[in-house]
Amino acid sequence: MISFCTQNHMFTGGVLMHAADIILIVDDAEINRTILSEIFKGEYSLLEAADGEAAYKLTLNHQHDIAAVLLDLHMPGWSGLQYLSRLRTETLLSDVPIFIITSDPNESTLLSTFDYGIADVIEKPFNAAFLKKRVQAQIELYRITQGLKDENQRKAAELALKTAEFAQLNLKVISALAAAIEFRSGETGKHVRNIGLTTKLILKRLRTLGVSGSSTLSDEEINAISYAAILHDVGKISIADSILNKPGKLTVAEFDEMKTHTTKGAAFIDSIDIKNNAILNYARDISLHHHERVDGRGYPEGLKGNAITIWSQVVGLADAFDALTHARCYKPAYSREKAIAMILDGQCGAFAAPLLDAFLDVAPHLQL
Amino acid sequence: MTLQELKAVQPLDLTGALERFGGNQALYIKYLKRFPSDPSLSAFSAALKAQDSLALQESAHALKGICGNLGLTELYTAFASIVMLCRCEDTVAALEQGKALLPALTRTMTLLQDLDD
Repeated sequence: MISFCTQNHMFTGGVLMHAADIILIVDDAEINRTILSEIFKGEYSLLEAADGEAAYKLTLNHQHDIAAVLLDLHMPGWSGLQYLSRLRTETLLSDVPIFIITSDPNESTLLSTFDYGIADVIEKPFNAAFLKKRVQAQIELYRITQGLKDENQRKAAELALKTAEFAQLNLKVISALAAAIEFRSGETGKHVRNIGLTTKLILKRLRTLGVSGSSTLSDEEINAISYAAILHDVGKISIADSILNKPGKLTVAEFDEMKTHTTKGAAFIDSIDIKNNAILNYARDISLHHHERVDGRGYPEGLKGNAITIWSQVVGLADAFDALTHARCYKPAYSREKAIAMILDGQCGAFAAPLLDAFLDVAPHLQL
Repeated sequence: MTLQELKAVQPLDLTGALERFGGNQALYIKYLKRFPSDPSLSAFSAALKAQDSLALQESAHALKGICGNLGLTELYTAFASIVMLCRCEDTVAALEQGKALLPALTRTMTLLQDLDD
């Protein structure tokens, strides 16, 4: 993108913008104002003020058109420093070069003006040609800097929009993939949504209770886990229809085959080959471990206790609750109360006590 | 009296001053002739009479800037010295220098009033 300035216009990113073209001259001596006006007349519009207060009023009325301020320090009424102080307090003319034009030899006073972000100090009597060049150079520099700032802001906004679009696309693709798996096993997309919502509710409750592994999770991380949860059965894409949709009880061999949906799911996510995506990282762990149980009697690795991540334990419980409360090809739908009782009774395998506590707290609010 | 004639009898940075006025000689002469009626001069005289060091410093500071811009180098140097003495709180010396400057100041004012338009 190109940015450049002409005398009164600025060209930024293909858009011709009006550039500020007023020089504000602030000095109590008319002769000093006249001399400065003579230097810039014909090339800039000029405004004159005899003290800081008059300059402040002109600034309020013309702040978007002022290209530079030439400021005396010693004036009756508001001094130059008072004017500067007011500008900075009210964030006025922060992108406009301000020059101190002074015959004050007091170096500490002059140095203090730099604390107000002034562009330069020019001592009286000045060389008119040098003064003009210095002021013009700073005006151009400030314009270019402002042009670059505008350009950077525009690009940052564009990037943020594209990142948001990309994140949205990611989620839609993940949701569509999860829904496809559910449809294939004869279920509806509702199961996918329920798992995500149940996971989020239980995790937030665990965090409130301060349960280890969940107490430091941010809202953003809990959201990522909730999205990852919907991919927990992605490995079922590799399971034969005859097993996946078998109406009756599975044989041992068939169940062994069914169990491989955990490792196949992890392998599938590995095959996507994106290492630093939080959702996919959670999804891999959840896909592999959502059938592990806290007593080590789950699969595929027989992990015990805290060796299973809290999110995989939560998704395991959310999956069990949703499967119990909905009809499957091999079972009818159970009531909320019966499903809760079966989980507490250990009929879906053992879950950690704090997890069951959190589950009981949120169970009345879970969607069926 | 022309500017060149003024320069012959009064220390004058004619080149620098004309540059500051963008080469506009008429405008430069206009402000030279206006200088004797500048309020800072009467403020300076009043401060000397009242022996008011703060008013003396403020008026001398303003006159220093104006004389510098007008190229009145001798007066510029004198007012700069008075400002410095005031800043050093040497009021006695500042008042003395101020009084000593009055004849030269009066002479310059007379010369400026004789300038041709």
